[in-house]
Amino acid sequence: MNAPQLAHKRVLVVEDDYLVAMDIVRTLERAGAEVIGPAPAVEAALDALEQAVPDGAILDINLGGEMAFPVADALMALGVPFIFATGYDAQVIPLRFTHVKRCEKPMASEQICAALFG
Amino acid sequence: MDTAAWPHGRGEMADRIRTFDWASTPLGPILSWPQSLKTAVEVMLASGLPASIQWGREAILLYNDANARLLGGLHPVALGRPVFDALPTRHSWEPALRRVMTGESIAFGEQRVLTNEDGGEREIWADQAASPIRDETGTIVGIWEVSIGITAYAQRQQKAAEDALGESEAREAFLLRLSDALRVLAEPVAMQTTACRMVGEHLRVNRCSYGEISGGEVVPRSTWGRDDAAPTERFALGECSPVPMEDFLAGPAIVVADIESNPRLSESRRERLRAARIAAFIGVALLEEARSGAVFWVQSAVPRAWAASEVELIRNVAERTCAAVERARAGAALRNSEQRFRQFAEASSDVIWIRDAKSLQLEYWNPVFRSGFGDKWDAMIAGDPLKGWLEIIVPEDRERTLGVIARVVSGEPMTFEYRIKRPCDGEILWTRSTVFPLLDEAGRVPRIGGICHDITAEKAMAERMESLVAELQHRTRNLMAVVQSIIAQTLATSEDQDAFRTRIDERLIALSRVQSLLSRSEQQPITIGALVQLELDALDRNVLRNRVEVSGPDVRVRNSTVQILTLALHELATNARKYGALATSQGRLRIRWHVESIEGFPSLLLSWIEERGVGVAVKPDRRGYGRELIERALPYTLNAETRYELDEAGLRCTIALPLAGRDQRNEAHERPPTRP
Repeated sequence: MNAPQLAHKRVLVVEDDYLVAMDIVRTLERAGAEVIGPAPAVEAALDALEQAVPDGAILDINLGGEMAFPVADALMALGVPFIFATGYDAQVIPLRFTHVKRCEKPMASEQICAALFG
Repeated sequence: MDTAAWPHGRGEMADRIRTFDWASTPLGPILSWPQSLKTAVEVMLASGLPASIQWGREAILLYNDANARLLGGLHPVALGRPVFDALPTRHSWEPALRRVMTGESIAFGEQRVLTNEDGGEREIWADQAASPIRDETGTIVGIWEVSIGITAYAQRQQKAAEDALGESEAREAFLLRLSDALRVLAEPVAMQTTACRMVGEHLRVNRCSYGEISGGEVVPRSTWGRDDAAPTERFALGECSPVPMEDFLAGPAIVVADIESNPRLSESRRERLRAARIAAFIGVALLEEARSGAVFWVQSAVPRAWAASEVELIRNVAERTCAAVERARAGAALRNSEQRFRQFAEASSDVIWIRDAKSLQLEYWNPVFRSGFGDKWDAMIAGDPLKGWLEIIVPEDRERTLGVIARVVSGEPMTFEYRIKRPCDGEILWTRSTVFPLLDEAGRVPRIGGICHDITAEKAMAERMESLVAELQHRTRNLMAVVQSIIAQTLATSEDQDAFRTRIDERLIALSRVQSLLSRSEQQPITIGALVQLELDALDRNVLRNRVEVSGPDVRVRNSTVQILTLALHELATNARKYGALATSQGRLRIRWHVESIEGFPSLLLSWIEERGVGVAVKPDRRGYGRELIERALPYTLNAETRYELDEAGLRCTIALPLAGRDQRNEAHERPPTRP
């Protein structure tokens, strides 16, 4: 195993599918990150942000039919870098987020690290 | 010669010249006059035509009796005076008279002259001429002038001109009557028959026929004849024409006054004409091209000296009739074509219109166009045409539409897509329009046309396809993540490779079963009962016999919940077989569910109860993954409330699953139920 790429980084995971969330959590933890969440919904994610401001975040866009954009707005306001983890087409993403990087699931930790902190 | 005796003669002017005091004039006493003057005076006095002499440099005037009558009031004082004093109107003649004095003879031609004969002034016509008079030495000493009255002749000429004018007026009047008669007719044959009858009656001939030249032959179309005329059928045109066709086609008209004396007619042709009782005829051919056109025949049973005006009239009639027939045919062809266009356009399910290119006023619309406006039609058609058009287009697409119209009006056909709000029902429709210039003969664009096809369904289908592809993409990527997660989890909880292989196989098979359920879910909605049965069916039949009780109503579950629910049920079923109720002979499994309202939202309440039976040895229970799915994954992913109680007696597992998703609950403006 390589040296932890994400050591001491606190990363918020927002993903409604438990299994996918666990996979991301595992990937992050293996890379040395401290995971905040995972949060399955907007409200839970916003709650988590009130507790602690992370160093970065991974957002699934569709959370059980609810869009994750309020979380993205909050992260932008806080200046926290984040990526969209999604298979979604670019056209559902509002224009204000066009600069946000998107990673297709499943993701490798190198990918996450490069996208968030590269 | 006696003074008193010369000049001789008894006329008034002879007397006056004899007794005039010539000594006081430049001519001097009459006895001293040169012979040349005397001779001229004698000839003048003897002339029955008006004649006069101007003598010497002073142009002293002398004239005869006939001329005196022409002078009217100027006579007798004009005698013996310089001509320009005596006849003031003569001043305009001076240049001409000067030329005569240099030796030229001049004919003035017809002149209108005012006379004062019989005390009343009147105008007459006279032909006048002037010529020089030379003396014995050849020197020009005077002018000889003579007039010939031509009034009667002039009057005859004028009458002839007036007669000709009357004739041409009569011809014009006839042609006007013909035009009026033809105008009200629509049928070519009726026009031809009318023309034949009118000419026949007007010229009082025996027969008139109208035929058409087609392929070099003359086909009779209609004939008019007097009662005593021979039947038309017997007079065949074409090969049997009375003159050679070449003659006929060559000139403006064939005019035959008497067939017996016309050199161009062969005896056989004469024979045929005699048989048809034709003694004289006029034929006119109007050629459009070498082998097509019209012919018009006028025939007389007796020889007839045709007047030039009659020939001209017949030619005029032929031209007018031919033109009217052509117009009628063109009109009929146009009506036919118009009718075809209308049937075409009215059968179309696409909107079809024609607009004036300048005003954009609608000139044609088909029924589909009309019905799209419903009861707003009258207001639209009465209002500003451009506004009426733009108003139905959604605001975002209006500017683009205006640009397109401008290009079409300048001659460029365009196809473009835009949205309209259909006035009759307010529905927003996508339209693909082809708008094109309708050119006139000069290549200008007086009109534009449009064909508009409703592509709303097409657009919706394309959008649906797009979202389906996106959805498929999303699902596939998600599934890959799920598979990766399951593999990692299974790897972490398997004691050896065999255990891993068995479990991963079973889990992936369960996952694939649920995928096939999902792919059919459009046609066959997924119920909780189907999911339960699917997992039980995957077990060995013998294991299930009489030990499993399943009961509950048909409850549909959302597709997004199916995957994780199936995995949880799969773990429950597998564990039951390996370690639980189905691993022993006495064990029993009860699966029940019903729907209940929890905090105002319908929830599915499912219980999975295993009883091991008494005195059965318990294998070491390894239910880690199933338990994790029940206790953590379902609450996390589905917002479910779950309980998982495992003890000596068996397993009691309950799942309370909200049937509506987060989004639906949010939409109900309710705070979502809080998770434990």
